[in-house]
This record gives sequence, structure tokens and C-alpha cells, in this order.
Amino acid sequence: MIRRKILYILIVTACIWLCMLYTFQGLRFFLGILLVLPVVCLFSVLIQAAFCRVEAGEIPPFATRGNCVILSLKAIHNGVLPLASLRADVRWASYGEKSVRHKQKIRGMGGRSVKQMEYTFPAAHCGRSEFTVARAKIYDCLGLFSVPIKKSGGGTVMIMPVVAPLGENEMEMISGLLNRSSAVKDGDYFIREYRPGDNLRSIHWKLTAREEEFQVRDRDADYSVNLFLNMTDELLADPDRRDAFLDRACSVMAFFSEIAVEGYNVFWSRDGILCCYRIETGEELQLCIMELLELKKIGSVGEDEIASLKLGCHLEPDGRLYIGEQCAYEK
Amino acid sequence: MKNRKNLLFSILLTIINAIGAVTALNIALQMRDIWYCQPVLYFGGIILMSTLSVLFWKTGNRKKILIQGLLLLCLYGVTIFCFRRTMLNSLGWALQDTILKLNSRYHIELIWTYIMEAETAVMQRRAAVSMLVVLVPYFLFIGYGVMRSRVTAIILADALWFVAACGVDFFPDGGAICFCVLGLAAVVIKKAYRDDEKAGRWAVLIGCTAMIVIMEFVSRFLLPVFDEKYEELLNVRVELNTKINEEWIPKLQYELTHLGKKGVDVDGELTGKGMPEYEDVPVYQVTVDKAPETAVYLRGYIGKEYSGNEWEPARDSELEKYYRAKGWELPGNGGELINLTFQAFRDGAPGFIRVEELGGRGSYSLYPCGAQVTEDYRVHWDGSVERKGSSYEYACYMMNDSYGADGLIGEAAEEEQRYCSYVYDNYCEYPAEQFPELTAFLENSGFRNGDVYDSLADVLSYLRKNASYNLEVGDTPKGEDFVEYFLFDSHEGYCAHFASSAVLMLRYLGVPARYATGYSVSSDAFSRTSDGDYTAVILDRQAHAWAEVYLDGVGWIPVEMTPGATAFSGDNTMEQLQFAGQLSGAFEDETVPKPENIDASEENNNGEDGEEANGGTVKRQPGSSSGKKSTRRGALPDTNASGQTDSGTDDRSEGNVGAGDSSAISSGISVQPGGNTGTEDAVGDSSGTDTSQNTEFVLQKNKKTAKPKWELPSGVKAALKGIFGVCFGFFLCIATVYLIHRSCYWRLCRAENREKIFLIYRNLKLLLWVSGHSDGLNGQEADDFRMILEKSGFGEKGPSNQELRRAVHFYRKLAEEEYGRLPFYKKPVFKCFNVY
Repeated sequence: MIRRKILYILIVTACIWLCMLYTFQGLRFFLGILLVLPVVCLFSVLIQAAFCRVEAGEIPPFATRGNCVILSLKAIHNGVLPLASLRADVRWASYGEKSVRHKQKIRGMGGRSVKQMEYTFPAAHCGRSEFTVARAKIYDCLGLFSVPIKKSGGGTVMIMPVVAPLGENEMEMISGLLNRSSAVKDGDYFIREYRPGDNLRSIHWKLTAREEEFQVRDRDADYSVNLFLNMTDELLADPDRRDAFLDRACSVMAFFSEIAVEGYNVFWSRDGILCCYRIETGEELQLCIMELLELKKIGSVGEDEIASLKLGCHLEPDGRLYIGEQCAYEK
Repeated sequence: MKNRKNLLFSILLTIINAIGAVTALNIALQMRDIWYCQPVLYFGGIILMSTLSVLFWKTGNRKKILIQGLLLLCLYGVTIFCFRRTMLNSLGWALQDTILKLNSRYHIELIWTYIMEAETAVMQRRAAVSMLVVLVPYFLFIGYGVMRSRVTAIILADALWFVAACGVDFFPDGGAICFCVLGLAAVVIKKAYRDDEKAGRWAVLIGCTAMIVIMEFVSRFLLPVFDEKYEELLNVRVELNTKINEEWIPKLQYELTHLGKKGVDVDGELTGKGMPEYEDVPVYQVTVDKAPETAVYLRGYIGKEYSGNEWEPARDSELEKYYRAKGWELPGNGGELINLTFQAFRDGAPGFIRVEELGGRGSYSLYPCGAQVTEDYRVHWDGSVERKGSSYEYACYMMNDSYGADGLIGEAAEEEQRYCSYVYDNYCEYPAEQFPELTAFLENSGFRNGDVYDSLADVLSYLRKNASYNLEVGDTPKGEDFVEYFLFDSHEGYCAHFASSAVLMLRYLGVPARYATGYSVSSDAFSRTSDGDYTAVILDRQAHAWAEVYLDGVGWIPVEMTPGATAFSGDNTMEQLQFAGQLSGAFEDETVPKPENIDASEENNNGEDGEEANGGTVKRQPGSSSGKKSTRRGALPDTNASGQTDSGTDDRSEGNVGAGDSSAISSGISVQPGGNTGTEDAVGDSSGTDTSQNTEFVLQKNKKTAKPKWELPSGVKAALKGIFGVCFGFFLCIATVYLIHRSCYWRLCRAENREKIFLIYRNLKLLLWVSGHSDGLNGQEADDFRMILEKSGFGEKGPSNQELRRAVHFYRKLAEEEYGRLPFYKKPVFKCFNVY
């Protein structure tokens, strides 16, 4: 753009210079054209600007980390005359990174036409990424003048963690944990398998006869499954480590969701507040992950419970999963 | 379908561009109106060629294009070869007018003969076909630009006819330009719409229509206005043209070619940084109508006020204020003041002097004393003349010319009186507080201050005796004054030192003086040209500084204060002094040589009577024929043309002016007691043999011949000292190491086996420390060596000869291994310590 302007100015200057040297009328004619042409270009581009606009296309709400996010812009030209070029700059602000600006240009648009521009951005880190139309303008055919046009749209894309299958050892240990705590609620009490030390009075004989295994009634015990995600400030400060942790946490939560029929609780601590989320369905899992990504402070339980939660099932910042004091980590 | 549309569209654009460019070229080259007389053949050919060129570039396959190109090249070559005679003849016929025009315009003699083989119509047809064939590459180029949407290619194609038109000075009319503009605009628009070809086609159509409207508008409404203004601005155009061609472009050229280099201007800077670096490049050429008898001083820069670092020029406002305060009318311009000298010198027809710039653009015009500066020049009141082109000429009386005996008369005399008053009030300023040392010296110097000539003689004599010329004088120390340091500390300097000192001293003595720089040219440097004139080339090294004194009724006269002179094979100082004496009225009879011997003035300084000392050979008459008083302090000069002089002049000259015979002039300095006697002899000896124009070179040469003792330059001396010191130090080191080695060796030879083992062990330990060997010694041989060492240390018997040999072998082997492992910078140290 600036080069074209300079070149044009140089050509005009050279023409004036030559006019000083030579008395050719043809040169003056040429100079006249050179002087009138920009005026016509400016005039045409000003008119066309009123008929052009840029809109953001449909934005996908989710994308998985590591994939590319493809976003589109619609360039709408309602004028009759063809348009020489249109440029739209969009800004992509990914979580934990500086916003980047992408430019794209459409060279030539017919009258009353719509063209789509696609921008591809890498989904580098988990979290909310924002997409905005930073600038949109049209140019004349000589590229000497540009006029901004209307722009609208923008939105957010949630970059989700990558869910991977857990190791066999981990799956086994988690299954054991869930089996231990598996209990069927029957009225005011839970029914579970007999464990040594149970009172014989609590045996549910009818059920035992049906199941061919001792089943007991348990009125007082808490059978809820808890998963504590130990997220430290150091972890959150490093985007790569944070991504790895979130991938791991989501993988564990997904496995929990698969096998924990009764649901389970997920806890995390943020700014000294313990947050918890109850997951029973797949939708709840997705919502939980989104809130985890945004680190929303919800369902405060109390700090004194952190220590006890750490004794249960918890995920350490380095990705190791502990069931009680036993590490289920498997490389 | 789409491709076909695109192809047709491209062909159309190529045709438009080709018609525009080829027709414009045809018109510019004035090819006998081929396009007009043979329209079918001409335009049909263009359409055919354009179509072929588009088809040529249709494919995007490079290999295919290459094969096509080769085939086309062969066909082109064969066609040209087969029809060369006809083509050359017809094109020669068509281009005859162009050739004649080129010959007349550029004063060349291009010849391209032709034979009128057929009728004009046939010749036109042949010429049209020949032109189209010859321009096949041009069509291909245009086709390439259109097909690949390369705007640059189209611009270049149009540039060809444009350059041809400017070269031949014949510009095509509007029709061809319209086609060119349309074609160019179409390609630009096509490129702008390259993502949407359909839209692009529409855009080109609309754009071309708009362009036609624009061109119509320009042609009908704008162009008449332009034409009218163009005529009105004729003077401005000419001025601007002149300015651009004669000032801006040369200045730019000069700046570009002299980036980081010193220019040709010599200014009043006295930075004390030693001599500037010259490259012996020619900077000016000066031509005169008759051979000058003395050196020519070409004045460029004029300094009035001494600031310590430089001589600053007088501001124009100073004179204007002075004149206004006195109620006098200002002269027309500064040239009138310069021309006073010309008028004073007036005697017969003046000669001329022409100065041409060779080394680049200067910022002022050089002119000699006695030149007539016309109104064309822009002259400052202080006498500096702004640059007037790269070549300029003056009417001029040379200093060796006989000058007018009647002096200035009428208005010129009145003008001179006024200017003289200004000069005495402004050019005698001596800031005593700035030069305490110089002032103290001058107070007790006994320099005569009654007459210009006496003062000049005293100052010159003093400078010759107490300071020597040296080009390689170092920097003036910080805090020291340039002049005082030169006069009282270093006693060495070059022209700037001598001239500055002289100006200050003369001003103290009441003589109006100023500092001038420019170029000086020896009379020997002039050589006769075939026209009968005399010309000399001035090198940058001939840049020079001198003092100028104001002589009443004459003007500013240069006086050479640098000993040994500068640009001359012979010293002209004495002639100058004599000239100044004549002009100032110190001598009256100019026909009699007046060798103003400086020794005489020195003798006078010592209280002796100069007249007696010189036998009164100079006939000094009590009044100058020009009727000018020698000194006038603060009062309007007496311009009594009748020749009256004040008595003071007589008194001064009677006692002060010593003279010898003419032979004493040439060898006048040789009789000086001490001082620069040798130098002046050498100058005298070299006259007639050294024709170098190089001022400083001459000086250096004079200096060299003056000192019989051959001396190396200080830089070379320092370098030699350094080399010698390094060599000596190196030799000392080697000798020391050698001695240590020998002493160790003798000690080893004298020692017993037990001691030998100990010595070897000690040296080995040292070597390992030097090499940085931190690991212990391993291996069978090391164990063996340890055993021998232990036996040598604690055993009753010393080691046997065989054991000693084994130990020595181990030592040598280890030393070699370590040496091989060492980096290069440690090796010499290791070798020094390895004494066995």
C-alpha cells in the first residue's frame, strides 16, 4: 500500500520533472491523467464503502487442544460496481498467549456478491479463546486509498483438553475404589455386599437369598466418590504444564463418569477456596470441565476438608493419581 | 468457455497495449507515418502478433514455454537472416529522419544509408513488416505482462517508447498515449481483481470506460489550463531548470561522490587537527589570457573574526548597519567593492581569468585580486562570492600588471573612501584580552606600526625567524590558543598558522587585515594552450590560507606570510612585499626594482638605519603617485589625486625601508642570519626545476631539500621503534630461554645418576603442571619410573645407567605426548620449561 503510494508520487514527480524539461503536450496530458486518476479512485472507493460490510461467520463453541480452529468471515458487497479489494484483519486471543492478528484480502468482488474468508488458528492451550474482527477496509483498484467499512461479529471458542485412556493399573484401582463404595440406595439405607465385621442383624436375608451373596443394610455410611484436583499456582502459571494436567484430569473424570453410576464429586482449590462439582451425567461432566477450564469458584466446601480430600482419590500437579496413599500412576 | 473468454479478454488487452506502445514508438521515431499510410498491414500485423504472443504465454508449463521459445527464436533468427537486406534497407529508409535528428541534436554522425528500391508505398509496406518482425520480442514482452498480470512489464514496455521520445525530442500525440494509458489501466485492474476473473473483466470494462471519460475530461478541460499555465510559467521553468541542472544535480552528484570526504571548499576552520587529508585530485582548472609572472591567489573564503577555532566571516548586516549609521548609501552590491581594486589596477585592456570546477561543486566562486565581478554574481559585503555555475570568468588585472597611476577617481574614489573607513573601523580589531601572551610580546617587539609596508616587513621577518613550516604539526593542545601556541610554543605550523598569526599581529599594528583561504597557483604551473591562453590545473592539495591587508585606494591585497611560500617553485614573498610597498606608497618608482630586504627591517629593529645599511639604493619618493596615504586610522582616506601625502609617510619610509639590489631579492633570504636561511636558499635553488603545482608537496620538498640531515617521518620512526622494541624483546626472551636451557643441561651433565633422576623428576613435575595434567601417571612405565625414583631417593645405591636411560626415555615420551595434546598457545611455554 505504502509502496504503491510512494511509487505513484514518484511517477507524478517524474512526470512534472519531465514537463519542466520538455514542452511535449503529450506529457502534460499524461500528467493530467495522473492527477485526475486518484481523485476518481478516492471517489469510487468512498461510495463503495457504504455498500460493504464484514460479518463473522459461525463460530464453533468447542475445539480440542492440538487441533486447528477454522473461523470464517463473510464479506458482503451490496454495491453494483465491482470492488477491487477488501481486507479484513481478525484478532485471535488464545488462553495464556498474546493475541495474534491475521490478515486476509479478497482481490476482486463482483457487484452484489458475498465472499467468505477463512482463518485458521491453532488451538494451542486449553481455555477460552476469543476471536474478534479487528479491522476491515476496502481499497481502490490502484491501491492508493483505503476506507474502513462496517464490521460485526466475534465470539469465543472453548479449547477443550485432550481425553486419553488411562493406564490399566489406574483403571483397575479406580474400579476397585468404586466397587468398594458401590452401594444401592433402598429407602433410607444403602444396600451393599457383606464385609467382615458387619453386624449380622443388618443382613438383608431376602436379597441375600436372591443374590446368593450376603447383602447388608447400611444406614450411616457415606458412599460418595470424591476426586480432588490439586492445582497449584505454579502449575497454572505454566501453560504447557497446565494443559498436561487438564488433559490428565479430564481423562480421569471421563473414566470416573463411565463407571461411577451414582456419580462422583470433583473438587479443586483456587485462591484458597475449595470448589466442588457433582457429576452424574455426561453433560455435567462437560460443564464441569468448562468450569474447571475457567476455574470458576463454585460450591465452596471449606478449607478444613482439603486435607481429608487429599487422603482420598486425588490428582497431583505432576499428573500422578493417588487412591488414598497409593499411587496409581502408570507411565 | 471460461478459458476462452479469458483468452479473448487477454488478447484484447494485449492488442490495446501493443497498439499504444508500438504506435507511440513509431511516432516517436518518426518512421514516415507507417501506421497512418499502411493501416491494414500495420494494425493487422499488431493484432496478429498480439494474438500469437498471448497464445505463446497461454500455457503455464515452463518446459513448453521453453520449447516454444526456442522454436520461435530459430524462426526469428532465420527470418531476420533471410530478409536482413530488405529489412535493413526498409528500416533505414523509415528511420532516416530520426537519424538526421539524432545527428543534429547530439552532434554525432550516425550513418544508415538506404537504397530506394521501390516506390514509397512499397517501401512503407516493407518497413511496416520489418518493424513488426523486429518487434516480435516486444510483443512477447507485452503479452507476458498481460497474461501474467505484470504491471511492471507493461510499464517497462511503455518506458521504451517514452525514452525514445525523450531521446529524439519528439513526443507522440494523444491517440497513442490514450491506448497506452488504457492498456496499462486494464492490466492494473485485471491484477487487482485476480481472485475473481469474471468481476475482473467487468471491472476492466468499467475502468476503461472511466478512463476514456477521464481522458476526455483531461483533454477538453484540464489540458488547455495546463497549456496556458505552462506558457505563463516559462520563466519559472527556465529558472527551475537551470537551478536543477546547474545547482541541485551537481550538488547531489558532488555529495554522492564525496560522501565522507572533504569538499573542494577551503574555509576558515582552525581546528588544530593538523593538515586535512588531500588526495591530489584536480579540483579546479584556471585559464588566463597571458602568463602570470607571480602566483595567482584565488580567493574563496574570507574570515574576519578570530574565534580561536576558526575565522568567522563578516555578516552582511555589519556593513549595512555601519553605512546606515553613517548615513551613507549602500553600494549596489558587494561586487562594486571588489571592483574598486579592479579599477585601481586599471591600466590598458584587462585580461581574463576563467575558473572551471573539476573536482566537484564548491559553495563559492573563486576570484583573484584585481578581478572584476559583474552583476551576475551574488557577492557578500565581505567580498565572498557565491557559486555561479561550474565555470565562470572574470575580466582581470593580474598583480604583476602595472596598475593605474591615477588611482580611483570620481564616484569610485568616494566609494572607496567610505569602504576604507568601514575597513579601518572593523578590520583592525584586536582582542588584547584574548591573547595576553601575544599582546605582551607585541608591546615589546618594537615592530613598526606607522606604515603598512614596515609592519608587513616586521611581521614577516619575525615569522620567518621564529617559526618553521611543518605540515605534520600535531594538534593544538586543549586549552591552548591556536595562534599563541604556534608562535610561542610549537614554532611550527602550516599556512593557516602563519596567516592567522600575521593577521592578528598586523591588526595590532594598526594595519587592517583579514584571513583568506582559497587556492594558490604558481606561475610555473601555467602552460600554454593551442588557443594561446595559459591554463593550470589546481589540485586539492593547493588549498591555501594567506593574509590580506587593506591598502588605501587599492583594496584588499594578499600577502604571503608562509615561509618558503606554497605553490611556487620560487618564493614570491619578496615580490609581494614589494608590490604591497608600491601600492601603499612605500616606493614610488615602480620601474626600479625595490628589493625589500627583510634583513634590513631586522637591522632597523635593532636600531640600525636601514637606509645606511642598504646604501640607499631604493629611491623612495615622499609621495606615492597614486596619492594614497600609507596609513589611515579611523579617518576617511585622503583621496587627493594631486599626490599629496602626509609627512608621516616620508618619515617612516626614510628610516625604515631598506633595499638591496635585484640580485639580493632572489637570494635575499640567504643573507639572513640564521633562521630559515637554508630553506630560502633551497627555494631559490629549486626555481625553474620544480614545476609541481602541488603546494604542500612543494613545501615538503623544499623542506626536505632545506634540511641536509635526512629524517624519517615521525610515524615511520614510531613504527620502526616499535618493531625494533618487539624484536629486541623477542630476542631477549629467546636468549634467556637458551641460557636457562644450557645451564640446566650442563648441570644435568655434571650431576650424578641420583641427582639426574631427581632433576628429571623435578622438571617432569613442572612440565605436568604447565600442561595442566591433573591425572596421576599410570601404566607400566610410570610404575617403573616411580620405582627408580624411590630407589634413587631412599635406596643405598643410586640408579644404574640402564635405569637412568629408562627414566629419560619415560620423561621424553611423556613430554612428547603432553606437548602433542597442548593447545597452540601453551606449546611455547611448555617448550621453555622443557629444559632436557
